[in-house]
Parts: sequence; structure tokens; C-alpha cells
Amino acid sequence: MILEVINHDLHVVNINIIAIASSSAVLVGDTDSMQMVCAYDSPSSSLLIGPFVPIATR
Amino acid sequence: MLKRISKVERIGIQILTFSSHLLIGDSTIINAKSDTFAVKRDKELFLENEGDVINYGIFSLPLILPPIDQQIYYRNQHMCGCIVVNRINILGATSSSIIQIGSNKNIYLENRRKEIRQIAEPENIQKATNQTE
Repeated sequence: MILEVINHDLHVVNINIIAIASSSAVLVGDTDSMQMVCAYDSPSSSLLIGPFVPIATR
Repeated sequence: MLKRISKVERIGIQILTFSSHLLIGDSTIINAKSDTFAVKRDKELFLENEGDVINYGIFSLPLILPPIDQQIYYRNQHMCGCIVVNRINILGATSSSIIQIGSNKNIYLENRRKEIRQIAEPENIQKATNQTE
């Protein structure tokens, strides 16, 4: 694969971001490689109804 | 590879939490990892001995990534040697996220999150079951 990139003048005036979450990135610059992984587990079995029981105590 | 110069006049960030970074300057490798065990309850209850032994599969399962050793013939030309941003406003960064002004080589960010909801009040049970449907 041949990839040829020509970067011309880049001038940004304003960036407004509310939130950056769960392995995401804001980069003002150059990079070679980026790998981002996010595993989120919230199944229906994680909804516990009943009296409060301590979770995962020693 | 020749990298460009990043120039930011003004940056404002309110919150940085849970292995998130603000990095001003160049770097080579960033590895950020964050494991979160979140318990939501309908009452304010915090038991300090909770979560000592967490053996949920999400914290140990291998995450398969696409390989980055592909043979790419890459060539770039920088007509202008800098990236200019006048103003950046960020409210919050969390859970192994990166804000960087500058160049980098390799970035690896990992975040695993297990969420549990516990409901005890009878009036909230109806509300919660309606949400999941």
C-alpha cells in the first residue's frame, strides 16, 4: 500500500469539547499509530433488585 | 518521521480524572489503562470493604487488536511546519483518555468498565424495569 500525504497550512480558531471519556484522545499534533480499546459491561443480570448486599468483599 | 510543531494559544480544562492525561510536548509511547467497577444504588451507601476481590471476566478477557505491522509505504510532505489552534475548551476528560499538544509515535489506551445497579426501594423498582425494557 502506498500512502502519500501532503499537509498544507492548518489553522483552527476554536475547539469546544464537553467530555472525553472511555479511552479516547484529542491530539493536536502528529502520530504514527493509535490503538484504543474500551470494554463496557452492563448486562441485564447486573440489575440487582432487593436488599443491599455488599459486592465482592474479601 | 519529521513531525510538525503544535501551537496552542490558550487551553482550558475543568476536570481530569481516572488515568487521563494532559500532555504538553512530544512523546514516544503512551500506554494508559483504567479498570472501573461502578456500583449505582438508589440510596447513598458506601461500604469501604467492597470491591477488594473483583473476578469479573471483563477485567481479564483478552482484547484482540488489529495488527499495526502492516507494510505501508508512507510518505508525507509538510508544506507548513506547524499546526495552530487559538483556543481549546474542554469540560472534562476521564477513563484513560489523552489530551496532547504535540507529536507522538504510539498511543495505546485501554478502559474496562463493569457497571452494577442495586435497587432496594419498591417505588424505584418500577422505574428501573421500565428503563431496561
